[in-house]
Amino acid sequence: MACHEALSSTKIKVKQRSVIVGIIGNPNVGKSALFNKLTKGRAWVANWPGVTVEKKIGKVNLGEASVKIVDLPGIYGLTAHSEDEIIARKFLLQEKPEIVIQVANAVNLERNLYLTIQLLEMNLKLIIALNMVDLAEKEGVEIDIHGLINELKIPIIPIVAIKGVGIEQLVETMIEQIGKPAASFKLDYGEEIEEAIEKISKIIDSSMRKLDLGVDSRWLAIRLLEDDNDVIEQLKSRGLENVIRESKHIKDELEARFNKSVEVLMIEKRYHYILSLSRKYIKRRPDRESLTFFTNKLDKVLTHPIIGLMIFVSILYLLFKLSFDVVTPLTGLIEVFFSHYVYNLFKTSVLPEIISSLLADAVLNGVGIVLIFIPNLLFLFLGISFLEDTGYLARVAFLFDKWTNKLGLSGRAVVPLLIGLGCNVPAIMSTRTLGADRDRRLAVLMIPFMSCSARLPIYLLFTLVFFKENQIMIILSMYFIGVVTAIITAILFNNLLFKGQTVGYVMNMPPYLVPSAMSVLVKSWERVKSFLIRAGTIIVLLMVVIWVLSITGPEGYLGAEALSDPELLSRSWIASFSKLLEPLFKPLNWDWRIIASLMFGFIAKEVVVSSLAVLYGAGEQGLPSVLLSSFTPLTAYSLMAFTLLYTPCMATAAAIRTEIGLKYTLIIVSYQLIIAYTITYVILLIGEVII
Amino acid sequence: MKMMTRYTLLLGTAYMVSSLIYLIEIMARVEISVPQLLPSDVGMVFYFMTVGVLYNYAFIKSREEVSNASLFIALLMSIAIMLVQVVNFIISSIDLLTSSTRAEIIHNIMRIEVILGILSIPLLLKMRKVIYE
Repeated sequence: MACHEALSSTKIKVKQRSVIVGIIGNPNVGKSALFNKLTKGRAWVANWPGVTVEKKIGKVNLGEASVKIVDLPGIYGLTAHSEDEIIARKFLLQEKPEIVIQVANAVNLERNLYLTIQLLEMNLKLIIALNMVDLAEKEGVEIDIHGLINELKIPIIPIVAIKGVGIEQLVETMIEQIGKPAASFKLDYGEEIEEAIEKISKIIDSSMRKLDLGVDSRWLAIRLLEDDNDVIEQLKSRGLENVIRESKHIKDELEARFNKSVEVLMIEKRYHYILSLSRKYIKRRPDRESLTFFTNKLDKVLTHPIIGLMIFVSILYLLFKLSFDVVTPLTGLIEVFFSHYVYNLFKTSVLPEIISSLLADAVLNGVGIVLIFIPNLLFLFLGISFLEDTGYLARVAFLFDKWTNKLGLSGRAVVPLLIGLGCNVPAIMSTRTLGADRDRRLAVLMIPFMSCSARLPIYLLFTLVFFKENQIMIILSMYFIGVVTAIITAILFNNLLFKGQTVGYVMNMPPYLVPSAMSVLVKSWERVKSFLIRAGTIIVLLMVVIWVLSITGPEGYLGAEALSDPELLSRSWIASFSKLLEPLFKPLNWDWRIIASLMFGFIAKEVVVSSLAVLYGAGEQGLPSVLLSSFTPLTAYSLMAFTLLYTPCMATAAAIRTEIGLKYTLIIVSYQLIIAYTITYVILLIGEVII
Repeated sequence: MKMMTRYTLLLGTAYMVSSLIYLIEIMARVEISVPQLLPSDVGMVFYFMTVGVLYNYAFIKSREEVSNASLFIALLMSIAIMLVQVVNFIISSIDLLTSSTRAEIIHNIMRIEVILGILSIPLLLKMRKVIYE
């Protein structure tokens, strides 16, 4: 309520109607916590243009002005080296926010000041929200806030974001700052560099008459001296090659004089300034047994190569238990509600048969498939958000980094990959925690190969019929094939699709914190909502398409009973397509019924079993004896492998599309089909030689 | 402090013993009674083993700084599994409301992870003082 009280009690008249405020800061400093406090959960998630990095936007009213608050990705600087830095800089330059709030961690303020200097150099109207001041106090860190305000000439507000402390004062300061000019800041880089900046600025100023870039010429000059590729490209696109040429000449002269890179010289100057600020305004009591000390001790256990791994597996087990085992009664309730109660309501309604079948078999089934995931997703995201906010996921990344780096992934990717063993959909959604776009794409491409629990009924059926003696070993071999294929996929795509894109990043170990329940809930709900809205619509649409293809055929409308009648179903479009594809699957010795049941498997992998039962006209009870007469152990094993590897189910495909776009969805679907076909064929060939 | 280390040893041993009995049960294909005093599946055995190792590690290294950290993690893990089981129990009660018996409720409350989790709480409160004061 603090935020709203501040808003209503203020007597300051706000003139602007619409204002943009950006929240920026290093990773893990509490940006999201502050964002949630300021927006009170009235936020929505989108992607930044062209990439799949999350963009969180919220709206609040400040008096007469409507304020759009944007949560920017966590960054260490604005040099445009990483995707996140490019996004943040583009936002600052193009959207020109009225106010930029930098969230800084009071426990290690020095680390945050580099970004502060870069923001001030852009002549932005900056407010520093000095977060975690309570922790800093416990740590024995004393910050002379008034001294820093006088030095930097910007407002600095101490806050504790997760507890809501200082938010009221921050909002008041924001209102005060609207309409005021930005404080001017000029870091002295020394005589020679300043001279070079001056010269380049003049060249820019004379050329800028032609084109308005909307940025300060001093800032552009500094960026040019630091060889900023993004700025160089911008100038090139505006035909300002002469500026680039002349600035390069000035830079080369300077480097020849110092025998050192100008970029390094300027970075050194910035750090020198930070050191002087830190000496003047930040004091630490060395005698104190601090929380950092305990954090370090916890790290010794949690990142221990053996004990750390045991703890990780145990926590993952707990996460699985929570999201797949504990919620079973809830998913059961949803299933019963939809597949019995509402289904029968539609089926027995007075509506025409085709309408009631459309509603019950297509729309309702689609809605059911979407809603049935909600309990799993919610519990899983609650667990992941909790672990994320405590700071544990950063340790997991550290624990696995040296192994996953070989595949071109960050250590954090281990969590979504292992979740994939339970269900691919939440696993793909949980790649959102990875941050880097490249990491997310690679992890999403690997996840469909992780054998999810929906494939288990198929394994169980075939192993019970054909491999009774070695059931566990055969099922384990499926998991093994899946993991190996995922690793090969990572190596392949890393060298083909993402070639030359570096993984390099700084690993930040945030202090352990007790997470705020509000922050965990909001984060989890946002992720579930995103699935519901974006994946849900596609699933329902696809269900309708499959329904139409099942109840109609070359002869026309077959009737809704085609869904349960093998004779009618064999005359449907799905059956016709399957028969058309039969020659393609001849090398695998499959008839059209298997192909058709695999097509139905696109709805959900477990549907393969019930589809086989319908298509063979056996019913689920009589299916084993039919299978024994139609399959050999070898063809059964190859079908199991195909089911594991071929196209992901509809919900997974929708999740992939939501997360990394249609292009990659099509790539992965086609790639999986090819891989599944090849591996199945190889299994058959090897099997025939051995047996 | 001495009391605390003894308590730690007791909890760690309880975790280890119950998971060992479960493993013997599986390997020897015998059924030892009071099943609610054993972990419910192989995953839980691994969980119990880790927690047991952490408690015993904390006991053995009780004079070293790192023992506080391992004890702290072990306590959190004990309480976490207890909470998950409690949530499990509450959600499953939706089914129990329609088909329950008193015995089933008592069986759930008597689960070893819930008992050990509750036993960990006083130790966690004591640890809180050690860490923050």
